[in-house]
Amino acid sequence: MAFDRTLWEHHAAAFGVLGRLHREPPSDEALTAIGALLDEWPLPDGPDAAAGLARLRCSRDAGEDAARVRADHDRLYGVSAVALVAPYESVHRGEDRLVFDTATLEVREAYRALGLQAPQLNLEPDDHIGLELDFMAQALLRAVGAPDDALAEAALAPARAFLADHLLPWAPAVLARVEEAARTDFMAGVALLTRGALDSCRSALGLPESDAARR
Amino acid sequence: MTINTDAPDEPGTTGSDRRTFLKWSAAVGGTAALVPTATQLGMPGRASSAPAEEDTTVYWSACTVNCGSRCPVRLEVKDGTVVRVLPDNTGTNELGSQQVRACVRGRSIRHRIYNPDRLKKPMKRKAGTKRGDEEWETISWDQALDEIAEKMEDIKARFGNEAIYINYGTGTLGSVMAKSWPPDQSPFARLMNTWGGYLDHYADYSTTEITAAYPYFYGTWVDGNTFDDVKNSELQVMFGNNPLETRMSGGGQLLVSQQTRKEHGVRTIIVDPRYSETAALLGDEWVPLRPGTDAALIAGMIHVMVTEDLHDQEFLDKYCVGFDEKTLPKGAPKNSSYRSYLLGKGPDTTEKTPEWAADITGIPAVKIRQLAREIAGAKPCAITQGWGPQRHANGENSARAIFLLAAATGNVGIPGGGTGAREGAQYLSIVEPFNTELINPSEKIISVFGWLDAIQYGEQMDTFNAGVLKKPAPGVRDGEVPVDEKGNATNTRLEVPIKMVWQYSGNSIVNQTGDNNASIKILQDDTMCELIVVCDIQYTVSARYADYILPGTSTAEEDDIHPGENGGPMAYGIISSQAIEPLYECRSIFDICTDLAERLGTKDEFTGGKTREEWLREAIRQSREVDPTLPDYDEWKEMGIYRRDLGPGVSLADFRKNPKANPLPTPSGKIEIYSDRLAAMAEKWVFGVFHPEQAGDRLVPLPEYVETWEGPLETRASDEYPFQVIGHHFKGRTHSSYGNVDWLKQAHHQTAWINTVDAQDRDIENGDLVFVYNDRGTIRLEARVTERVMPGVISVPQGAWFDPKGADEVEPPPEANPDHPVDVGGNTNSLTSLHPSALAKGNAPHTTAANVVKA
Repeated sequence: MAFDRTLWEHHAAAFGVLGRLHREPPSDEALTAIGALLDEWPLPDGPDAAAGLARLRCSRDAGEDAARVRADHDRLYGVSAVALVAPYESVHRGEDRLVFDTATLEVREAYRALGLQAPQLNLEPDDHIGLELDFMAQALLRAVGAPDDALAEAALAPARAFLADHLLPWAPAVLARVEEAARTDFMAGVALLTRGALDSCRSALGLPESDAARR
Repeated sequence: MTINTDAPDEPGTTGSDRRTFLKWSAAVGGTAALVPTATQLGMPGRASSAPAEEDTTVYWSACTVNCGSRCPVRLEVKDGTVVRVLPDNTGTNELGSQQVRACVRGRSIRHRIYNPDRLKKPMKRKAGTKRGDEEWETISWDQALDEIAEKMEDIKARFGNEAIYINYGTGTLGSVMAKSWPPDQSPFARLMNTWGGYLDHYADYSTTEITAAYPYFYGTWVDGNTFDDVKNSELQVMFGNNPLETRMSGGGQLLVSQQTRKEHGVRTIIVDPRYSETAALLGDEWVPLRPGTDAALIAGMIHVMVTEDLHDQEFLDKYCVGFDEKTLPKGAPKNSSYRSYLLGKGPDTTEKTPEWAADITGIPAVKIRQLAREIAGAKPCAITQGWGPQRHANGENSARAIFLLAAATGNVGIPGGGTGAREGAQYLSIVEPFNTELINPSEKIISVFGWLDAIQYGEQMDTFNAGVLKKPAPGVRDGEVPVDEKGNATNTRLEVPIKMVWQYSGNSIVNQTGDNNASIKILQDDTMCELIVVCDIQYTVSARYADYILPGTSTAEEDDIHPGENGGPMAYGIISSQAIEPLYECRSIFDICTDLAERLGTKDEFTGGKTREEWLREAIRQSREVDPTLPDYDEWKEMGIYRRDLGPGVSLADFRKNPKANPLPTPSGKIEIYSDRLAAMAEKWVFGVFHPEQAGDRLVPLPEYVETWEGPLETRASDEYPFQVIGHHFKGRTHSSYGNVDWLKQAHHQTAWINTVDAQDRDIENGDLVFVYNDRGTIRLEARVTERVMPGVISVPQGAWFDPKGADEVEPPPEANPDHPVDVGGNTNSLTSLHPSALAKGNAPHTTAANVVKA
């Protein structure tokens, strides 16, 4: 079977966008641009993705602005202080529930293996959900950019391993909590859409459903 | 052919045209996410997929909170991250060179450093919101410091420097460059000293009443003997002293007291309303007494001694004034001696028999007689007090009464005896030039507990109505005894209200002061206090009520010096090394104050032309001028902890040996059991000006028992609030520091200790949720039903994080004040009063009446 570059490019696009939105809330211009692109979401319509797109349409139609989304993003992820749902893997997977823990260093290793690192190394944790999604985007783009199908297929390995070892064991469950705690349709929509993207990618990479922590 | 992971292809070079990717990327815009690893740059030979270095480095660091101990911790760092916290691995098991192993708090320091709730960026209260609404705007450091400096200039122009106040905060008192206490030695104080000064406070929330009592008894603060000196004692008596829970370092008084006990087996009696860990593990006998009645117990015991001629009359005659009529100072009224007080010849005409004391203290008269005989007969006897007995509305007198017991039994100034004060310890001479070389020109000083009054009443406050004092000398953070050389009480007035409160590394805005609900009401009127700045590492309760929050660095992110504390015979000090980069946008207090000083035009004076590290080196250089045997900075930093055995310390030994050559700094040069200065002040001081006058609001020259508001007699007569609520120190926290650490919360539940008898009467079982409430507030927490607290007393560990819930979330019990939220954090200051003690104008948190019901 030929390597489906479009499929992986679409996943990379989705993870790139979603990663960015988890890291930093959108400007008013970006909100408008996203609102106009919702019908062109590149990934298939699973239940979470459909619900996510619906919430984002609600957000657009209700006129949620950047200030509201920013406040909700800060409140949820504790940009300034206390998080309702900490956006870091180690907090959810480590016994100590701390940042900069074992998972953080494992994630750092995975990034390094592809010649990548967190932008604020040692100052902000490497395993922010937004950075982990960005890693997926970058890893998939490498596969897409491989010179032939066999190499491209092989180049999917880091993304597959990272998804199985890092994102799936925590992100779907934590995103469900984000969706519940969100005060804006936008943040709830982003959380749902991310769950959808992770599930779509899991399925495309041939990982079993049981790998994902859903709740 | 291999996959080249070192140089990812540029988008669009092969295969897909990436239209979708580019379109969506353009929509969200964005900053760089993951970036190429730094190791690749200019190093083509090195494979980026090489594993990170496995090597770990171990750095000396420290736990710097206000526990009365000081522990080094060793931080194992891997890949720029602290992965493990290790204890001291140097020293021995012998007193004098003991290993200083950190307690459960220091060992969980990673949970503070890497707490997901750490402060990350400067924040500003959103316009139009109230303090405590917790609506924040994250802002840049430049904006934060510009705006704070501008507001400070404005306040200074309108009110002058004394409108700016540094609030009590002890979260990093164990450091030099990051020092939060004493307030006059903190970096912000240095900054204010370059800019015209600020309003300072005397005493501290730990010791307000005993600090105020000292000048009128010993003339100044004195320690007790060191705990290892108890080896020379026949008997040890501890009043509310609990080293096992309040000096918890493995090298601290916990060790010194237990090791001495193990080696010498000196019989030990613990007087405490609560069967503390010290009572359980160090004590041979526990004597429970009603909180705040120590002075009555002591009057009852000395009555027995005097009646049976067991006291040390010779000592009292030679070293003290006022025990007998013949040693009263000139001008003292007839029958004003302590003996007259005991015999009922004084104004109250009541003889202080053991039966009288039994009724007040709850200790049977026969037990009081036994104790009196045993204490008087033990030669020598080590009598110490912790700081619980004095943290009461009548705490100044409880403190003086315990000193008096040591004097009446002739134990002051001898090996195996003691002053009746808290145990002492040995210290190195560490000079701290950054903290002490500049002087605050302000000459007035208020009580540490007076700042909320000064916000509201400022220029109305003076010595007589609020304990405003004059400093004894420029730059000395203390209040002069307000009596002139002729014996007349003097008066000093405050000129302006407090308009700015600076809170660094402390939680005393709300949580650690008193009456949380009333405090919030005062602070929410921002026409009174116009600016509140909090600098901390955690999003504390106090931070919630700030206008600006500045994220500081933790000890792991800094180099610093940490003088040892309470190691008994062992003097020591720690130099820590920065283990990790400052997280997020956090900055050191030195850098923060430097940039603020730049805006105020005093940067050069503030830095003194030195970097932070140069100041640390300067501190050790100057210390070595005093004590050349100290190691130099680099050696010391390498070894982490430096220790020296100085042996047992005996307090006031010189005075005992030769009182004429070594007089005490009292007017008489002697121990003043009767204080004519207090008598002079009692004539002038007024009560009821800023707080309604209540029972116990009076000054008395003798260390007599004074019944107060919400004291034992009032509570036992009350149906409404029949319990005395005290707040013991807790293993899971140091005050409120570490209060948000999950590990410690799991290991040490916040519970209300209640006696089995009281619980049974109220159908409360161990583990039930209960409300403890009074008119000032309501807390909800688990009940701990136990015989370890005496009937009629509830003990709630102090320092829990105030967590108020409105009636929509947690409905208060019908008997509680419906105007207040229910604090489900269980903070004792939801129940305590802002009513100050009479002399110290201090916090009296253990003087609190309340009721309890099952939730």
